[in-house]
Amino acid sequence: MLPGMPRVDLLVGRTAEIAALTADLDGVRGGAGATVLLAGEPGIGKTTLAAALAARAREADVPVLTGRANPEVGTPPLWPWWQALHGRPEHDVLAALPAADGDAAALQGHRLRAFEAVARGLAERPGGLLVVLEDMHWADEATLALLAHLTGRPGVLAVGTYRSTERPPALRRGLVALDRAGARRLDLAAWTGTEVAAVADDVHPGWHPVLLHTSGGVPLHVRELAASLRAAGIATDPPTGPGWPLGVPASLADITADRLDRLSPAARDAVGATAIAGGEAGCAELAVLCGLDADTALAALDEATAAGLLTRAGPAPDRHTFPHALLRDAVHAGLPAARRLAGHRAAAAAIASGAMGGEAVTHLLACATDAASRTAAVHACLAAAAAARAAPDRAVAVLDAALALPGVPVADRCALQLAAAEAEFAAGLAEAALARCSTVADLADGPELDGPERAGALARASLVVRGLGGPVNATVLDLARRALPQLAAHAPHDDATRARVLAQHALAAAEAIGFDELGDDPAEAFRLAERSGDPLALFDALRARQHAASGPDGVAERLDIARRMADLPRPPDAELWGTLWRIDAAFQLGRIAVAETELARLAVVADRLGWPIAHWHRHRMAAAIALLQGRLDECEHQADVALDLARRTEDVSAIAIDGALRAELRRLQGRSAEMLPVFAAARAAEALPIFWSSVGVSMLAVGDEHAARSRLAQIAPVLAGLPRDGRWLPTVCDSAELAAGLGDADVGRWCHEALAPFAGYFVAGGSGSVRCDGSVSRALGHAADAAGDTDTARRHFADAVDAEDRAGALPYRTLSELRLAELLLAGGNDTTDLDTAAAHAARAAATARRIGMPGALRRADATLTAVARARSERTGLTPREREIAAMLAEGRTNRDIASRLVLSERTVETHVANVLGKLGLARRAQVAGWVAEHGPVR
Amino acid sequence: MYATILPTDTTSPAAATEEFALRQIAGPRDVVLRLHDGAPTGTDHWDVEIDTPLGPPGGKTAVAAVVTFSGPMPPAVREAADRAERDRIGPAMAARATSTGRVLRLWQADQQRKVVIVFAVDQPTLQDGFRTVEKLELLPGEDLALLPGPDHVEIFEVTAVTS
Repeated sequence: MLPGMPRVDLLVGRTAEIAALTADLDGVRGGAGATVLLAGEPGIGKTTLAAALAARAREADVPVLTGRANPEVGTPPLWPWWQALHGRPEHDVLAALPAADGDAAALQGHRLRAFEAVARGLAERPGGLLVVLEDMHWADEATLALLAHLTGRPGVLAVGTYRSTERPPALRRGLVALDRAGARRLDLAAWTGTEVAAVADDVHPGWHPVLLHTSGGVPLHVRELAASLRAAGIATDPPTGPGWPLGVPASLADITADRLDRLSPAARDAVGATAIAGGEAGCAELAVLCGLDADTALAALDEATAAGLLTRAGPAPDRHTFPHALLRDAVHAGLPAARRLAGHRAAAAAIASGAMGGEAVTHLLACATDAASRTAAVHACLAAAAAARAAPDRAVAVLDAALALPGVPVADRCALQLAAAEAEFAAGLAEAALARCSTVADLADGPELDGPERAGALARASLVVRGLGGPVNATVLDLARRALPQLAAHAPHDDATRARVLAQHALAAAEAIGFDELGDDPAEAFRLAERSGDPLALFDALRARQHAASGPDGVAERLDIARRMADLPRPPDAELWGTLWRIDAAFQLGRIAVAETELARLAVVADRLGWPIAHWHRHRMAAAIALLQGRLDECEHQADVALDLARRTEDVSAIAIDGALRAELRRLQGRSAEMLPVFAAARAAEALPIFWSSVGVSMLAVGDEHAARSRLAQIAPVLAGLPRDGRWLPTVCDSAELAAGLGDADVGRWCHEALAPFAGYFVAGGSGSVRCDGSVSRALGHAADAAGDTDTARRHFADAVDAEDRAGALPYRTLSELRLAELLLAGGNDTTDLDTAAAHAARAAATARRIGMPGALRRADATLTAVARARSERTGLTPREREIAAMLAEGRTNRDIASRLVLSERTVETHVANVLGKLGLARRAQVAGWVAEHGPVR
Repeated sequence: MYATILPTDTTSPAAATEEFALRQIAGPRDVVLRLHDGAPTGTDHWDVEIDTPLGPPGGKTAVAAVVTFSGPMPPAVREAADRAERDRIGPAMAARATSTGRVLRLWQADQQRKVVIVFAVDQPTLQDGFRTVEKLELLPGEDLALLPGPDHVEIFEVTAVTS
């Protein structure tokens, strides 16, 4: 191995290439010959691939000869071959070649004979030979000629590497000769995301796309950039911004400077101007930034393209760009400061005057060196961020760039931070947005802002993050508390802002402290909002009112609030919330058709907004509807999509919501055991009674009575004191089922009394519902069951079956029918009960089989078997008639039966008639079928 | 006032102020609708929430539509349905009625279910009434999500009336 040759285990990807080369190696070991040229830009991995091949050759006992061309002027001809043949007899053959000052023809003859001697010496060795010659772009003509001469010799695999970005005359001629001799070229492509992820597996995945984009997939650059992240100590943290934060690695800066030095002055200027222009340029930019006329500009661009520093961009012949962002950064960083500043000033002026396309912001930022230019840059950034609402990460990058300028006044810093926070929240980065809001609040507390400015900044900071559950609300509450007195003091007539902050305060307090903390704030906020007529104020006030009405009694009010919300002209997510609230209400009303209509509307709204949180709502609601309808595979798919989006929103409650949905999905699928690790990890949810009751039901499903009993012991003492919020109904309904499963009559009675007024509703949360668990009547059935009131339980389960049948809630209809059938079977004293039980169990079995509820199917089959047994036990046959029925089932004649039982045939005829009558059969031949269906006659 | 709806061969559970023998037109049901001043005991009975005459008096009602909301009916749905009958459907039917009719609204609290019985002189009149109701636009504040409609509607011939 040559010094500096990378270790083989660094080979990442290149599966097809190494397979092809290994096949060539196998070929030469069998006597074939081949030459392969590995081409690509610097750092693409030519040497790594060649080293991997050499390692394989050595493992197969194939000798490997290696040489490398040297760019130094004084390097002797055939230097790579001298290295490769060192210690071999062929080396002496080359050493004996006369100097180049003799007769050309004679010299050519000597060279040919020497080349042939070398080729013969290397060829036809048993087991083959591998020759690796590196950096052939620096090789002299003779080196390449010998390589061409050797091409195809039996038993020799020759591999040459060269940079496709450099084509000196020797290489150009050598490639022609090599092509003619039959050498094969292998152009190495850039890495994709897969290879980047593999080589940077210790780096936070959020960096992977940044590494790929910044490096252009060039392996050397990827490794350098990853090493920079590790060295900076940020490799394991997610990126805080969209771009590359650490500048250009020194190795790349050196490579780039070297490549620029090889260009003509005009081409060098063109590359520098392209870097200043932002990475893409054509004749217009070169005219502004270098003063080049069109012909000179095109020639310069062509030269830079031939050198691999630029590449064509799009169909316009003059448009050029850098092959990757890192190269642009390297060129830009290498420009003298004065040239950079002058270039950016000229670019900003040219864009403003229309002489050049693009955005002025970058150039204004790059040349902001005094107060006036900084103010211009800040205002340009705020305007650009406002225009980039559809691309929040871009907006944040622009605003952060402005924040990085030194000497920006506090008022401007607040404006920039708030705009960035709003963009980050729109991008689903709630934590980051909230951190900025806290920064703004701290800045606003300082002496630089006057009272109204302070009140405005604090109010805006308190309103950025909204509509989320979880711990973020503690910070939101703090921000609102800081804003309200400032508003009262400095903006007492601003009803709209006061309404918004008051509503935000109420919602955050309800989340962070408790539902009872809502108090009169929602009503006051709504009064102020209506007085102001401001849509944003109404938006926030309606949110607070909706939350206040989230209990099971508030469904009609919530529908009205939802309609008003959806009709608001702004903010853009008003329709999203209105639609979600209507789905919540439709769930509680058991109106799946209404929920589906609203889901279609939600899809349109989410597409319009383009926000991850909007798409998350859309898919989680699609999952909830699919679950309710028994489309369990579809539910899983939609939940997966929602979970992907949830992870991007940073809303911890979004992840918890996925757990709550999947807990029910798995319970219906008979796979509750899979949720046990999720329950164990859900530490934040452990504070919620709804979690206790829900997990208790899942514990019943996995047969862990002890764990279920612990959960019941947790929930039972707090049931009566639960706030009547959106979680009340699901919590009490699950508690009823838990009580039924564990036979707790007291909890059952309490739940029955509490739930009775809501028998006509379905089980759903009143605010941000996760799922709909079928009819409340089923929960009432469980409650009555637990209390030992079987008749009432049967009535409730029958009501539940009807309601769930009307709604198309197939999984829950199945569960209701199952329990109804079991109760009918247990208490059934007549055939009507048994027939009804059989009909329900049969339909439950068919539905469970079709939609994939194996646990329910087993219960239904067991019920059907028990019904059959009960029927046979209730035939009323006498022992003698049972005896005769068994013989009838065997197909025996009356005479045979009479003979066996020592009876008269007339007596047997009488018994047979009685048997047929009691079994409800018309013919004796049907007895065998009856036995087959119901089992032996008892 | 109370009501019972029982099979024809069932004895009246209490003294009745009015009695209607009803025969289902497209089915096998024969029932007797009875109105009572006192609460009947020992059988399912209904509270009469509304008893509203329609159109000019004196005509003979020969058909009845029994509109059933099976229940349990959610409180919000019941309130919305009651409002619809009171503010939208009732006034519209009263305004358009040209022949004798009558509307009874019955409620059973323990089962949370409701029945509306509409008497008319003949089937075309009944059908006209239904078509009128279907075409009515919702009032401000009404919401279709709260108006799921009845679970079933049965048409009966009034074969005898005793009062």
